[in-house]
Amino acid sequence: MAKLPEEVIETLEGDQKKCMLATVNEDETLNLVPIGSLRPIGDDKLAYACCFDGKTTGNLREGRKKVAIAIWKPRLEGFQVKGTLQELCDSGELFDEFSSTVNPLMETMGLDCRVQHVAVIRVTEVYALTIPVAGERMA
Amino acid sequence: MAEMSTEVVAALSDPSALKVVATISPAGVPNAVIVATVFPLDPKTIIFADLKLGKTKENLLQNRRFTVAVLRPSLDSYQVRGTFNRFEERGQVTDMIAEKVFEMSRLQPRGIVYGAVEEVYSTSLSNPGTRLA
Repeated sequence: MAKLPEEVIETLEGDQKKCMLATVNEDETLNLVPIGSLRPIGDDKLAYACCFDGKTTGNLREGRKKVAIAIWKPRLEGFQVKGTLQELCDSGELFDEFSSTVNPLMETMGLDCRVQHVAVIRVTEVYALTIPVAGERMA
Repeated sequence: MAEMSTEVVAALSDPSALKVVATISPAGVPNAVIVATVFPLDPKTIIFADLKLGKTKENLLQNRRFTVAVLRPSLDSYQVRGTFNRFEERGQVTDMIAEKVFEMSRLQPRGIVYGAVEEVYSTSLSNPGTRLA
């Protein structure tokens, strides 16, 4: 278990960041997809809304729970958070919270999809991705 | 071996797009890093510079698998799975690319990673998971 540094929390709470989530496929290749709704839950967890029952959710459901998340902060900063799936919620307060913000956004974009689950990730490691300190462990 | 379509090549050539490279350790731990120098050398080959690759390079040398994801400002996004081909410090093409990287970043690459494209998927919101090649 690790704690998210303040600058990572601030980046995740901002609306300029972009995030990519890597999960492990059954053949040990990587699945890597953008995630738009990632946000911190306290200082040791992250959560995001799963709107598609695709490969990412499949990998997590099948027990391959380790993830790596690359977070880009404009213009030239970045962080990597490694973690483990804690739970996939399909009801409850967190689910309702994400649904109330993500579902209207999807509708605005003309997309016929809604929040299916909310994934909660327990943070295990945090690294800098900004040159020249890329690779340095932050937590 | 697969071939990237012109739209995927265009996305990977877009300097304003976010590009991330994921690899996996022998223990099965994923690693995902931002690599702005990812570029399509041709529709079957992806290259990127080693400016400060640590774990990524280590993983590539051990199991050769990588995945690149690209996200354009328009939100078009793609995932390219590949196989590590070679790491080159010198060579005609490598020197030329290293020079371009230096011009862009003022950083001298330690070498260039070459990888073969194996599979291509859309990860755009309109058709996520659709295999393109």
